[in-house]
Amino acid sequence: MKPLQSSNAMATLFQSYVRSPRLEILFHRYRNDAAAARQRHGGQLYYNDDEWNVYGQTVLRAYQETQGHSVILRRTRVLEYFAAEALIRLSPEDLIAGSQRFCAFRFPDPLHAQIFSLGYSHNAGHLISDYGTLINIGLDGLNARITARQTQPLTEEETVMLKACECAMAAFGKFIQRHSEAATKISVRLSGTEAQAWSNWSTELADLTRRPPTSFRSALQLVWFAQIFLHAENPTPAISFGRLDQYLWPYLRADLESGLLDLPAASDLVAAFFLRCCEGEESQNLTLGGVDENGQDATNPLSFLLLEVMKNLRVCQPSLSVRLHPGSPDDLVRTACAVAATGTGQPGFINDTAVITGLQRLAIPLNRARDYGIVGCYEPTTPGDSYPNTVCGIPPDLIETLVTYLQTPEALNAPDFPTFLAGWFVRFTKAYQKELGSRFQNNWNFWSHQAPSPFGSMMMQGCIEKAQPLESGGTHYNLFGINIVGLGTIIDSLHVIRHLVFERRELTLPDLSRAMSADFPDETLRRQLSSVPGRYGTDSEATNRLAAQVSERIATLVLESHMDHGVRPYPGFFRFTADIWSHPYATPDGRRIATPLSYGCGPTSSCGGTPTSILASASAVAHDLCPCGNPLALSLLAQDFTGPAGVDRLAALVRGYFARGGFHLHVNLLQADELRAAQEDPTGHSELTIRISGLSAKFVTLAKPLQAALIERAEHGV
Amino acid sequence: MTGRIFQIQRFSIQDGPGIRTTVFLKGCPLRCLWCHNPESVRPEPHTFFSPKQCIGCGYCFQHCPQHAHQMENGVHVIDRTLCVECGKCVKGCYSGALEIVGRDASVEEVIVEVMKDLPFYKTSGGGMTLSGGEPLAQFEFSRALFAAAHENGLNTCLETSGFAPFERLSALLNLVDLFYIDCKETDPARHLEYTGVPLAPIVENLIRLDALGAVTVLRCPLIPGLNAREDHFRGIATLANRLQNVKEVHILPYHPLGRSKLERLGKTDLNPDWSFPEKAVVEQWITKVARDCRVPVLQG
Repeated sequence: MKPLQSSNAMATLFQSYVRSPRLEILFHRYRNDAAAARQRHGGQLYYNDDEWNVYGQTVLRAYQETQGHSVILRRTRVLEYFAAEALIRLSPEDLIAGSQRFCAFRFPDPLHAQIFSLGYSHNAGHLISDYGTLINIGLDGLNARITARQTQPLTEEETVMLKACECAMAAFGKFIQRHSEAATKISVRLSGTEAQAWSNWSTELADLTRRPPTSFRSALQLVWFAQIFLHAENPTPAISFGRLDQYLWPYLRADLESGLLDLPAASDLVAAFFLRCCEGEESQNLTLGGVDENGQDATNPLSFLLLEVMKNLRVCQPSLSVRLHPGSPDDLVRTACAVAATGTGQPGFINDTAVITGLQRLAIPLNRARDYGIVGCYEPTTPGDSYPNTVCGIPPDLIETLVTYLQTPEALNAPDFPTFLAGWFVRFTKAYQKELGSRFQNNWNFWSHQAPSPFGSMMMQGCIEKAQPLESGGTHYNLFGINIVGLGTIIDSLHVIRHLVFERRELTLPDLSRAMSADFPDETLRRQLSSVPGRYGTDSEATNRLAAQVSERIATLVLESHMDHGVRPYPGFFRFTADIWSHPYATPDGRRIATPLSYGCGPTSSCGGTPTSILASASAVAHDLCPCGNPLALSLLAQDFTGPAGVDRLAALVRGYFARGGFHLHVNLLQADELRAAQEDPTGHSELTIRISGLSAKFVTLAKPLQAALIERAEHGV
Repeated sequence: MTGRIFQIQRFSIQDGPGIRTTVFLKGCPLRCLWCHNPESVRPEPHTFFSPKQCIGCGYCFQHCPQHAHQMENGVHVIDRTLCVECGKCVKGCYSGALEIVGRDASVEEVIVEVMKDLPFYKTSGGGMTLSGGEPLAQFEFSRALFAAAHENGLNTCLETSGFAPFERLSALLNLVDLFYIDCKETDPARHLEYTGVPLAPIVENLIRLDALGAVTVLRCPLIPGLNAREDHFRGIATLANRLQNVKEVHILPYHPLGRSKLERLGKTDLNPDWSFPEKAVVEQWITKVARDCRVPVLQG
């Protein structure tokens, strides 16, 4: 097979992934198990009781037996027991070995209390390990790093740390070895070519305990084993894969060129890998596309393959992030948009331009910034050399500081809006500095003392050289995400205050505070507030400028702050997970307590904007000052995005937003259900706009029979 | 120069290629029975009232100099015979139930709004569309808008009934990239009956414009019970086949969106029985026209 060069060729190669019969079995096994687990655990993650129990017991026993020993030793003991005792389930139809279904730490179970009472702790996850190095040098290569470091002078603490790493690596080898043995057991139950295939696979697995992988399948397998082991060490969300298309493409290309694999078989392997990801912790992000360390487009055929497999499976894991830059191939954008048009919320789009500039503000060099991957939902970090803690800093609440500020003498006596705004900012700054020095630093110190991860440290650059665990600053870049919620609500609130209190003098701050504290008993006043024109999201000069100003000042405050041990706080306008945040305060924009805040860096859902005006407003935010992530979710009508024209339209929106400097975008496609909800609850959907043949109308103002007809049309996509 | 518009719709995706901004101009010489933009017909501004949005605050009752806002059997109504469209009630209506449709805007003001989506025109090949009402009824304003859009490098599209002096169409030849021209009814008598204007000048304009090389799309509303007839759809194909530069024929299934607008204008519904044509029926007509037609026939 010839080397694959043109992006057009890449896209056409993967246009039709069809699951093989073997994959079909795996897919249905996943669907059935997930459905059963949902029933058992009430819609929670897809863990398995038996696997969890075995895991939970090993953690408990390890901690019981090691009371009084160093924390790192206790945590190493967990890995050793897990490696030796974890339930290993392998079936003849499996393509990727190893289950993550033991990972049930965040669900109520009496065992948890017992474990935590022994002093157990884990770190906060949310990082990308150095999978590239792992598969390049294998276990032996990593172990050699320890040995080399041990020949140099060491303190007692460093000696303990390196010893723990050695034991963790031995345990990891043991864990892989047991899967090799399980494969042998399957091979003896089978006959003919199947038996031979399993026997060969067993040998390959055994090789992985020492040597680097030699095929795409074994490389993918080693990544998956490490992912499981990272979760055994820290059963937390958002341990992410980084740029899988980059570090695995050389293996896939070699196999395709040698004829060891064809595209359908390679796609099946990726599909099996995705289904494994679905078994585990949430938000395991996988990044594809973007530029390489030299700034050249790095898209390769594996980037397309990953998207095509996702388009076929339509599963929630791994969370795919597509990195785009001005030179990204149109085919990549279109293929990614075609996946988005399936309406699963996958993938997220990330703008290289904004992210790379932002990461450099954290003293990360350009080449490393260019190599960023996405952690969790939309948080960029450099893979393998950052300890980013992307969702650890919940700063003082923007809303609360504003609402309480309204009653202070500074606010009441402010002669004009700029003075008023400056006073609020001073207040926010003080509150932030206080949290930074106390709660944030304490959290960081706590993980440093209570959750050193020997295996996680092996998977990061720098920790062995420094003989220092990841959690104590062992790797190169130590960051601390500051997550700021409610930007859109704050902008609208400030806009309303400026307009009605300072410009028109139609309202006083005490009257406003009183109405807010009673959650707006007077609907007329509330409507007066919420109908102030030019809200954030409508692309008005006034709120765009406020968005730029507020986001820049807050982001700069965070970027210029520092923590101990060289940790750099880094801002993003979001709060982790895609949850809709309600808030105990009503806000000056006329928002009642029960109404959710704006999401990410975007406007409120009732702003009255069009898709392009929302994108234009959101691009006013200081994105390149917010390297921890500025998510924007755009709701679009599904019927406007069907077929090739719909995919092109979506691509034009994404490209247009990123050309204006946007950070991240993902789309929700509204279906007939949303229209139905709007029909039931008109006030909650007052701005939902419907388009037919180029005409638009606010849905809730339409007569009921017409609404019904539109719902019917939406259902049929006509 | 100023003109009278009633809406600037960003992210328009049905009015020409790519992502567009459509400027709706107010005033139309036609009186189509099925008009889906009834607020666009009269050139003067209108007060729009959506009873469902009303929160009963009473502002309009207190501030209407004409006492046009009244309660009838516990229902808020506007006596349109009293209303002078002064807009005083709209100013204090926080609920959004009352709005004025139609305002004067300068060319510069419109273009500033249109240019806001330039990044999306660039990524999608879109631009500006003028619609209405009838843009040719405000010819100088339309021409100035198209000229300004072209100067800014935008793709331009005109949606027109085709009912205007030919000189107006020909004068736009170099300023409009794509003409969307209506073909509402091909039977002359029925055309006059349904739209209030004769068919002949429209067909003549189309043929003369075509001879000058203008790229057109024929836009054909499908109105069950009125023009959903064999002879009309054969007529569409015949007309399309006479044109050298027609690009596509669009069949636009009737939708009753205009009806709830009529209600908000305080007018009565002429034909409450019209409804969406069935999907199968639409496809059937499309297939029929497509069989006789040289160019692609699409649902618009």
